[in-house]
Amino acid sequence: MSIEIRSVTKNFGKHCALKNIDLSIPGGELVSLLGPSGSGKTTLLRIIAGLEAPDSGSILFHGEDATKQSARDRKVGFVFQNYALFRHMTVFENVAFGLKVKPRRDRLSKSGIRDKVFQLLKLVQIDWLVDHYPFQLSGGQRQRVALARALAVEPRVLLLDEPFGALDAKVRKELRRWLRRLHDEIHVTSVFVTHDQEEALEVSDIVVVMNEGQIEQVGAPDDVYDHPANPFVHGFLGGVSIHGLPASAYVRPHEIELSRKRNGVPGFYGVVKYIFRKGTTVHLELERDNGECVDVEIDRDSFRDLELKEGEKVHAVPGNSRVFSN
Amino acid sequence: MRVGIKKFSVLPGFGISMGFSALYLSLIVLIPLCTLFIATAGLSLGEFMQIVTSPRVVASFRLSFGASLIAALVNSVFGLLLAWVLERYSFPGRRILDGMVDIPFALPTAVAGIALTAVYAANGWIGRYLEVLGIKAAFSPLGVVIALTFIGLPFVVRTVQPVLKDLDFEIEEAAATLGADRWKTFSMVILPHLIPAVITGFALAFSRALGEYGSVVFISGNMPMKTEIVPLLIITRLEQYDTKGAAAIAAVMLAASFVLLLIINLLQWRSRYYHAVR
Repeated sequence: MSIEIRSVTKNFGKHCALKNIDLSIPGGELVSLLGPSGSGKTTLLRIIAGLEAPDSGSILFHGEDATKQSARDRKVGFVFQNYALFRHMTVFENVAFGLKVKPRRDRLSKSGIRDKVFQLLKLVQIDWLVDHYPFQLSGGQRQRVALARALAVEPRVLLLDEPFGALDAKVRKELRRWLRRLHDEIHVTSVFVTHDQEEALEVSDIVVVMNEGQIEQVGAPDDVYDHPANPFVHGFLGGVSIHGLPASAYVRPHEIELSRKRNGVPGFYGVVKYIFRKGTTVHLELERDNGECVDVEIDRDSFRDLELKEGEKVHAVPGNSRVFSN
Repeated sequence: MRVGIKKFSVLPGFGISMGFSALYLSLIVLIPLCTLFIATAGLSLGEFMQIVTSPRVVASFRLSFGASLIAALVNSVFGLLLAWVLERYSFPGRRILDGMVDIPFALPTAVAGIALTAVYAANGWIGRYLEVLGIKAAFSPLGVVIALTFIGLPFVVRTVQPVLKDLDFEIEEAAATLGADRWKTFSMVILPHLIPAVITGFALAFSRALGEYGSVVFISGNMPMKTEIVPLLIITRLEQYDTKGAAAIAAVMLAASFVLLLIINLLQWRSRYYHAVR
């Protein structure tokens, strides 16, 4: 099921959350809306779900105008950031909810509902928790229940709001890879919101980078990473900018090479302000003569060879830099 | 290691605060209640049974418990509605309406009783129209229910309101995206969260109604066998220096209230189970 967003605008009072958004999401893909907080990504997701009405513009599902449809009639699965599980219901009852509230004529029989719930719980690998209440589950397990509950109604599209936001780092990584595999299995058009570039680049087929209510770039993860459309995308995906060399150069921290002496290569000098050791890599914060701070990332071995200490001067050579025309 | 009933706590003063609480509770609640049973103990079982099963006493028990129950039920339904309106919608005068809910708490009950009687009597503002319909509001059991509903109103509203305020709006959105209509969302998702608070409010309104005296004696007319409530009967006995008779009736009342509150608490304990940890 493809989703078409046509010139959608949304204001909250004086604050403009979305400015004239156009986006087309092909069917069966896993799409991420990536951006800092306040970029309008969650608002866009809620408008697709019908939980929020756009001030102008329209939403089309499979070419059909759904703008006027309520959330109830849109047949979308929505996974909330804090899962919004029904606390007074067991895992089984939570997942069965969407099946039970259907009008009598389309409702499955009791045993039909039972079979379907168990099938879904097996799919999300928590069928052994069927009689537990949400408060007895871990964050990752709640996430899976929320997902199974959303999938139970066979949604046309699956929408996930910061699906891994409330989980700890290890579970996050596990769960997002699992979501990727699950999507390969069921192929429902899915859109998820995230502020974590690593997550977006790793999991999705298409990344939509948003900022201040506008779309900055749409593309495959490699595309967006290798060819950022503008300084914002570059910066948001972890890039640094260096001014006046002679134009502004945009480069990634790991693409900067450091040496003790200038070997005739163009670059700049900087003073090491801070050193952060981060597993296999080492982060350095350099301060240039003009006061600008530049992040540099080098591997542990080169760091050891350089024998750098905080306060020392070092020469940096940015490689592979890009220039954006304004 | 020290052994005792006290667990480790960063807050000091468990001993003295516990001791004071126990003393306070004894002086205010336990000792007076004990004297009630001591006074009753002066009666033989036969005498006791004779007092509490006399037709006039039984009729007053029936009225007191029946009217309190009806009033508390009415308050549960309309209190829930009122709390809903106050929490869910914003409209001009909302804060004034919200403040008005507390009036039954603040008003001297005798004043409330006189006001209600004036309004609901056969020649009162509302009473005259009810009279046309053949309904006698004041000086009838209905009048007792009206007075008890009035004084019990704030309990349900004030217990439900904070729960409604804390209710996560997302669970309603989740229900909507899963295809539930407004009624199903309310009955299957919202109401189960409010039930424990409604039960608490019901219990409070019911207990308050059982003991209510001031507002009822004006509107009921106090006709023996018909509109005489238990607290009034107790007062009457006391005025006749029949302390033992009064104590016997009071003891039955106390025991019945205790059993009812126990049942309500059990109900509540069950419905609270899944709220234990969020």
